[in-house]
Amino acid sequence: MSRRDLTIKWLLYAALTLPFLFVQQYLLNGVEFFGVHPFILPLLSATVAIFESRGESAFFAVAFGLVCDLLMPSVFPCFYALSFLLTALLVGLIVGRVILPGFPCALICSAIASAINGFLYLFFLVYNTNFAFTDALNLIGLELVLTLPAALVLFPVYRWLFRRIHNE
Amino acid sequence: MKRFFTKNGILVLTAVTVIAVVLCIFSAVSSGTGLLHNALGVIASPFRAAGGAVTAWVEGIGDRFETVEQLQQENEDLRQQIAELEWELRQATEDREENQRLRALLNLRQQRQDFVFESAKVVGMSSSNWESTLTLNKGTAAELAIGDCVVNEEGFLVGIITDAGLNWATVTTVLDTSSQLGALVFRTGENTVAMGDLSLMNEGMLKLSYLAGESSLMNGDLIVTSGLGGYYPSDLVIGSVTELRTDDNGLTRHAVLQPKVDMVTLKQVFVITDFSVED
Repeated sequence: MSRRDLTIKWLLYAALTLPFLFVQQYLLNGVEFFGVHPFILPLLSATVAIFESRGESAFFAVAFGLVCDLLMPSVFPCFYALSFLLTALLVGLIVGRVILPGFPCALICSAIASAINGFLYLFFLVYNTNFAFTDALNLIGLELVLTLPAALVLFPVYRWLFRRIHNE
Repeated sequence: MKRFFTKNGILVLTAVTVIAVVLCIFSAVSSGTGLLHNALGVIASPFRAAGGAVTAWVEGIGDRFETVEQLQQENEDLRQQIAELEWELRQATEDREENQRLRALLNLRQQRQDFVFESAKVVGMSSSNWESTLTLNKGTAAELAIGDCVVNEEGFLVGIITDAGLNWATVTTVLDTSSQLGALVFRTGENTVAMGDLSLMNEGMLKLSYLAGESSLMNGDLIVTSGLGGYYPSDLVIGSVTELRTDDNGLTRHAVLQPKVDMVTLKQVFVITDFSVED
């Protein structure tokens, strides 16, 4: 791929990803089940990592994470960049070696992404404050269950873009 | 036919002219409608009616186009007016809301003259289920500092500034798991600690811990900041007790607090940048 093609490719990924950021911010944040809302942002970096190479998806994860860190306050600066980077690297390790890209793979990778995000929060909050570990595990579980169905939407959308980019 | 008109054309023309002139004179001289005149009128009538209909149709089309253009223009003007009025209405609503907040703040300012307030707008809110933080549009340039208390216009505690930059500040709300404040039961004067709890945070509640064994806490009791240590101002309302629960160890109790502020709908807050410490 030429540099121009690469630029266009990542611009298209960005254009596809940004609407989901708005969906999270303005729609999903208000949809609460048992006081918890779905959190799809980690799934976006995981879904891109299913299709793209490890290096490129890591780059995307960091860039997207930084955008999220700029837009939303989090437990510490660059939290999302770190969380999404770990997700992209782990997904890059298992896709193609352990499981082939497809819907089951998307579900597993999304679960990994959501869990990494949750456990990172847990790690930093346990380190900073005194709170019940079981409550944190409950929250991780509930968030995972609520967020996972989004993988069934995100995977075909990103697969469509990936195919369009690589067929042209 | 052609030959007929070539040969007799002048004759026909002359005859028609003579008939027309005679008819004119006849109709001018006679008082009523003559037979010939009437007959010609009857013959001409359908043609005139048809002509009139065509004229009316053409005029109708012209009028319609003209009317459509006028209506379009009028529609455009009305749309413009509606947009302007809607904008003014939105502006007026915002101004009214701000006015109400400032009036409420004025009351608070009169009650607590030791407070120095700095108003700020909420520009961001954490998206995660794991924390409850807000981002403000002002920072150290407006004298905001880490540790400043943030209240709403009625003086109800929103949270504490935990991070501040030149033109931004992060407020950790009282619901967040990292929040911990010295609290006082307003009715009894009992000292306790109000703190965020992960399981309660998502219900929009917080926890009142370290209750004394003989605590007579009741549902509805108002909880305010104690101000002990002089780190935070005293008597800022945190919330009210909604439930008393026994801790997992079965020996101690804690209370569930409903904060007085709805964090989700907050638009404008007031940061207490300075206050007098009461001895």
